[in-house]
Amino acid sequence: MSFFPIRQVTARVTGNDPVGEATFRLILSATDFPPTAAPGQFVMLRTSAGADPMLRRAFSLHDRQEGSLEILYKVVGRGTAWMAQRRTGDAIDLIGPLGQGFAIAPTLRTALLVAGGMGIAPFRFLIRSLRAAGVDMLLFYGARTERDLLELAEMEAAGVSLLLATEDGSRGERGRITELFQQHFRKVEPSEAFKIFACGPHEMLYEVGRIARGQAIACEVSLESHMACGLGTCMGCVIATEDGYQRVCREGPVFSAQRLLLDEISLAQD
Amino acid sequence: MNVSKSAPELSVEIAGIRMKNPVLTASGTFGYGEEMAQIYDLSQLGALTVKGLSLRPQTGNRPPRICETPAGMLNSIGLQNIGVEAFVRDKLPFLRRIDTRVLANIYGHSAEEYAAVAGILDGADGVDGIELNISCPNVKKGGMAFGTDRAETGRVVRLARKATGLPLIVKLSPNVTDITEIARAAEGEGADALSLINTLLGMAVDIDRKKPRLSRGVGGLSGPAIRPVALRMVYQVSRVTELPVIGMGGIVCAEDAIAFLLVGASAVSVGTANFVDPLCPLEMITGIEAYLKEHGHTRVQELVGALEMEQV
Repeated sequence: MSFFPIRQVTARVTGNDPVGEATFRLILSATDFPPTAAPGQFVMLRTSAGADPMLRRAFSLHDRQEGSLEILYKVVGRGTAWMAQRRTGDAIDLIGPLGQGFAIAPTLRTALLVAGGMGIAPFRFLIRSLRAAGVDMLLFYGARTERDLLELAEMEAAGVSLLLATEDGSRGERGRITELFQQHFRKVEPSEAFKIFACGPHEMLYEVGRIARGQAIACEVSLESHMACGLGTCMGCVIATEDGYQRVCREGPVFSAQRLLLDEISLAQD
Repeated sequence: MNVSKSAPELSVEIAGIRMKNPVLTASGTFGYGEEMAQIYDLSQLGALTVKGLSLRPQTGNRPPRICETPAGMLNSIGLQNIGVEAFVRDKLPFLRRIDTRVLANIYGHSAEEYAAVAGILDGADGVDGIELNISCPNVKKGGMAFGTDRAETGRVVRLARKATGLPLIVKLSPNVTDITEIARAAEGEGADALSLINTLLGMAVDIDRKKPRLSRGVGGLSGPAIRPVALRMVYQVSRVTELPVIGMGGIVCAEDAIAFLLVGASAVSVGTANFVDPLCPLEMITGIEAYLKEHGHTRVQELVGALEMEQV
């Protein structure tokens, strides 16, 4: 075998700018990164030169252009703090593209996107792909407060209709995005032309999944999990599905909501 | 310092298994091989060891299963695997096509179950050796319970020995008072080689939630944090046994690997480092070769147990 779909590459920082509260957009030049990357896939970044912190951090591809890729991240710990200190020209070691991305069927005409907080990260790449496929897009986007709602103007410019909610009411509806979603989600007939894509906190994804399942609407959710390898070898990042524990890094991170078990306790223990 | 002109001999023979170099990958960090084959050519490895196989498929433990710790990580996977029969049917055909040695790590709830799994692999084309996992800390029944008791170790090895003619490697637990006793028990019942160490039992706590960070509370510690412990145990064991030892525990680079060889390991296995730096086994092979040249050695075996100790 001479073709390796996953590559470990040394990327160069070409931009690392704040876009919100402790939130940055990292732009990396990586000419040897496989061009096959799809929306919803992710990369594993090394966030230290030594053994501590040791494990790589997983980030969905915020966007992927010819020879470059983007990551949207919030500083939450030592790994992301290290990332925020990178400057133009610095090297970052990354592995990718990893996992299964979103599936865009040729029959798709309308997409409902649901994002909570940093769950917006994989959507720019997805929106670009959906737009290229001529799909109409409506985005339900919720965050804690207005400042955490990112890239609104860019998404509107890309032809996305926005419905916003903040927990403190500083922008859009006051409350959680799932409430707004439920209000607007009218009875839709299951159709190959219609699909829901969601990314955000697990509670939000399970709620959106429940609503979609109730009406048998196609729905894909992108999950987050602590990962050691990102390559499918450690079995550390699993999620309960109808087929048992599956790897978020390999069978996911995008799963059909229909396959996720809402009650994880139902999986038998050894 | 002599500088050798020709390329030094890297191949080693362990338990009758000829390997092209002394760098292996450790069970539980390498899936069934196919995952890592997406990132590099596995035929460059001395051998690879597949995820622990049991008689029947195992669900594994509830998440969270992993957490990062200083220079290491804890895991409590619970040996989630597809079962030995599905491995032979679905995974071995791919592994047979790769020009490297394949070691099957196996695990049972009883000594009889270990023997049953060993028996199934005995007739499987493509398995070069069996590694008995008597040291997993993350399952309720079996695993480490066997590897922390001399008599139990002896019984598991004896039954597995009867069930297979394949080379038998026994993977030892560090969670014992005296690892050399367990090593001798395995040797006495017909083990062909020993591998050590498995993970060290550990724990981490989330003080905000007042809960352990792993679902089962405790898990196995791996990574550079355990390297000095592993090195000491490989040193101790290789002094009391005639068997070849495969050293592992926090090895991340050629320098680490060489230290394990010097204290008595005949080969080394890379574990957690596969997660962090998947290509590091390849750099390790190159690094060992460069060290041999630099130090005037013609064969890697010359390093094995070559540690110079002050006599006291």
